[in-house]
Amino acid sequence: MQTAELARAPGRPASTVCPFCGSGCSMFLSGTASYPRRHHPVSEGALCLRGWSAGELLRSPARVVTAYRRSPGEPLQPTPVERAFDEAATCLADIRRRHGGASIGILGSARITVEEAQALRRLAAALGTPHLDTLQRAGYVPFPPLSLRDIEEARRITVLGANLTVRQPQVARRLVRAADRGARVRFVHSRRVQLYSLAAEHVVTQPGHELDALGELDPDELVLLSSEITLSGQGSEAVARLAGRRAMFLTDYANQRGVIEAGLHPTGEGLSAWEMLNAAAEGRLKALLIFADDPFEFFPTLSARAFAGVELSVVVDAVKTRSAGRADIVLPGALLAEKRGTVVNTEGRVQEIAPAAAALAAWNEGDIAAELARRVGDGTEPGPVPVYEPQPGGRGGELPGEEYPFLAALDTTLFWNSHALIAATATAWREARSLFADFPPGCVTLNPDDARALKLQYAGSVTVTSPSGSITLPARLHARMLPGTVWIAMPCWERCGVKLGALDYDTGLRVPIFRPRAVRVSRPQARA
Amino acid sequence: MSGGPRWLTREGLDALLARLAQAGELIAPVMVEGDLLYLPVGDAADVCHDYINSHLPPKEYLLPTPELLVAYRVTDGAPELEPESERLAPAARVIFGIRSCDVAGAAYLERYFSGELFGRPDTADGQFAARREATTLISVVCQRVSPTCMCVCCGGGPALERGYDWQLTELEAGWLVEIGSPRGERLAERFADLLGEAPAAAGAEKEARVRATVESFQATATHRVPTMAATRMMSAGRMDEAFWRGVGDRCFECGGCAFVCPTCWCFNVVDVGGPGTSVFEEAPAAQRPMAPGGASDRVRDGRWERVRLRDNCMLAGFVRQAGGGYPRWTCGERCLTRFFHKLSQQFQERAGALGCTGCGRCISACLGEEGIDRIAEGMRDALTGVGRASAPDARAKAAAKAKAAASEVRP
Repeated sequence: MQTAELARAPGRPASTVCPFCGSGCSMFLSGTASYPRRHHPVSEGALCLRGWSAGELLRSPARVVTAYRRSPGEPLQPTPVERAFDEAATCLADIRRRHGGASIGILGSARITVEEAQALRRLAAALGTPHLDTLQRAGYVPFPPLSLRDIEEARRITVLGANLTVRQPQVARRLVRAADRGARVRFVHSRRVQLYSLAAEHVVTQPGHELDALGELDPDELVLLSSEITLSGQGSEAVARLAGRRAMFLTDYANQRGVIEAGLHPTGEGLSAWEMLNAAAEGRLKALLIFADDPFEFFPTLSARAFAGVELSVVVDAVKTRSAGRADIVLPGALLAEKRGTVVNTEGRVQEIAPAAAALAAWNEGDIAAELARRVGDGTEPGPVPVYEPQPGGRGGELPGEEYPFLAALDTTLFWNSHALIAATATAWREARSLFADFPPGCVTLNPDDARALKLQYAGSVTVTSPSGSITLPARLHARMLPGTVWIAMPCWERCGVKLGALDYDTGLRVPIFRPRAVRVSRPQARA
Repeated sequence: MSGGPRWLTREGLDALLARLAQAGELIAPVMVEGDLLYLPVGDAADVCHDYINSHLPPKEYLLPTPELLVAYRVTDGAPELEPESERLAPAARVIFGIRSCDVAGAAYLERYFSGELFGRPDTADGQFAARREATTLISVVCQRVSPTCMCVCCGGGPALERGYDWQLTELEAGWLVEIGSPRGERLAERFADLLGEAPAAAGAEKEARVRATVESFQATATHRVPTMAATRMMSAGRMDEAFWRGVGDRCFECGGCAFVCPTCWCFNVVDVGGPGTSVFEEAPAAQRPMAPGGASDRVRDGRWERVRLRDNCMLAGFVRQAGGGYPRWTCGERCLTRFFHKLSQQFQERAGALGCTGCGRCISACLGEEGIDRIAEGMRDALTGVGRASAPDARAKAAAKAKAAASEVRP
């Protein structure tokens, strides 16, 4: 943070867009402090804690300020950026010569600009690889844009499986305004989310079956849905069910909509991000180029196998992610606040940003992609931008039965949009870290009534068993969770998903999902 | 010239601002991308005079975030402190155009950081005191009210009787200057050539203008803080758990209300290295240090800074204890604490003023659309048992019906 060097520089604070959720709040940055813009149609004078903490990223100790390279068997060592480029270019050219361009996979991110996403497409074309995607596409389904004002002015609103206060606070704010104005708000959800007391009607359903409970919609009814629906396997169904309706998909990442519309998604024979990680783990891909994405965030085991399975892994990022820590070469990226370009928020609002601060290493993801394309590529230009059209596929959750009377689902409320960025702040990380500090091995969340029936105390261990296997974790107890459900904290997605057989792949959206599974919940067996 | 109000002509004010700007001391309201911000001004022509109030208080000039507390260099594992002289001798500056609510807020902060609030002058914060001493506040009395202004309810304006260094009121023929502190006197001596004797009728004209502003508020206000009722209910602990659960239901725990509040002082202290100094993390999140690059790196050589960051008592992490306990577990309980500080008689007696100056910023910074006015109105309605049901009250009733539905089980 080094405040001395950041003693308020003369000149005006510059505005930028918050790098966290997809709302697209505009903020002033002054030194390492961020402030909401009052006269901006999204922020309107307010930020969530992530936004208020975003300025701390500018001089975070977790920033990548130079390049790093790893000698075999050695830890990463700092190296001049030019030398890292040389090495990356030499290795990539060699891999391309030996295995072809299609042996290279490129993962982008939803915290880069539209222009940088275009640069990644150019890089993929120049390298001759069709494999370009981002894990931060997970859960996105395209709907025609609706504005925040549409929410405020709607007369009937259905919130379909979305915990707005945590995930999209600015959307929640508009919902509160609409409710205060007299709009009829209906929640269709498998738990009582924070704002449910606003609702005139609360349709309670099983996780993974929210669409089944949606019922008939009025023609003017506005439906708000989030990745909570799509990550449970109902994405394709949601697209079909809500086609032609006033539906607003609430994006999870700052530029999720922008980069996907710019072509950052799998097309033709190109592998999806999930398929790329699996292909790399199986040795079918020889190089992974990762731009501001962190596959270790939710899939640490698969990512470790993927990194071990390739000959070259290059990570470009502004912060030290776990992926960067495992890479062969790390190049310094930049934050959105340090970039010029375009981002698109959940409304489809196109916002141009200018650098509010200088990039710490004078590079950004787009420039690095362009430089790699120049050094290794053959000059091939990408074709027209493909349209993102999810195909039918995916399936909703199971239903509980006699033998397995509970339903295990993914708890997306414990998700701060970008773990890598949150961990690089001080204030927001202090809040996000509490869960990890209170429950180091991860946790599940249960309704207190269920816990009482199990004679289970807060933080006591609980064993969750499905036909595929079982896992034992400490339990949080929360009355907002419905009886008969057990919620898996999002950081445990892969670990619990694999054990319970819930980690699935949505073939329509081509993203990993957590398909709610029927489970049995018990206290762990005492060891003999 | 000493004692009694002074007079500044319009040309005199322009000259004053020009000379302060030229000296590099002027902080003044400036319009940036449609928002009013208090910024260092190098050219007095940049100063915005046509505004009601800023969305962000100028408190960051007294309580910056991050604020360097101690810098040290670790060499071969041995830390050595850097000299403190620069931090304890901040540059002189003059904040022009600050409103009365923010002047009252600065006085409130001063009382806390001087240790007087808790009767502990031995805990006085030297850095804050040095910065406050170097900062002269020239407030301008409001003659228009914004939709969220509530200072009339809270004694935070539109004009103050004490707490300011200079208090300017724009009158028909010029500016009435009231001087309220030794700092103000020193500024008056420095610019004695621009100041004159106030006309005899100036005081009455000022009072009339202030009265008109108050009447305008009373005629048009959409937000009010019923302070007497709220203080009575708050001080006696008469608002029940259901009420606070309802308030907590609307709190998104963003921290915005405290960050924009001119009287909030909560802070956090962390030790950090410079950009890039943290190690690549292999460890799971639970094992990582509290601040990025914090504890686990402390033994590493390099320059380190202990900084003070703005914080908020409504955040769960703020109340979390080292052993993992949460003395105020639910958001509603944390809301109660905040409003006890703002409104209770106990705190008013210590601070000598209400903890709310009525600036209204918490209304526009609240994602849950619930400022202090609605909460205080809920208290008034609970006290009187009549009148319109406020939203918090209605929510409280709903929440009472679904008892245990909205709270997390305590560990």
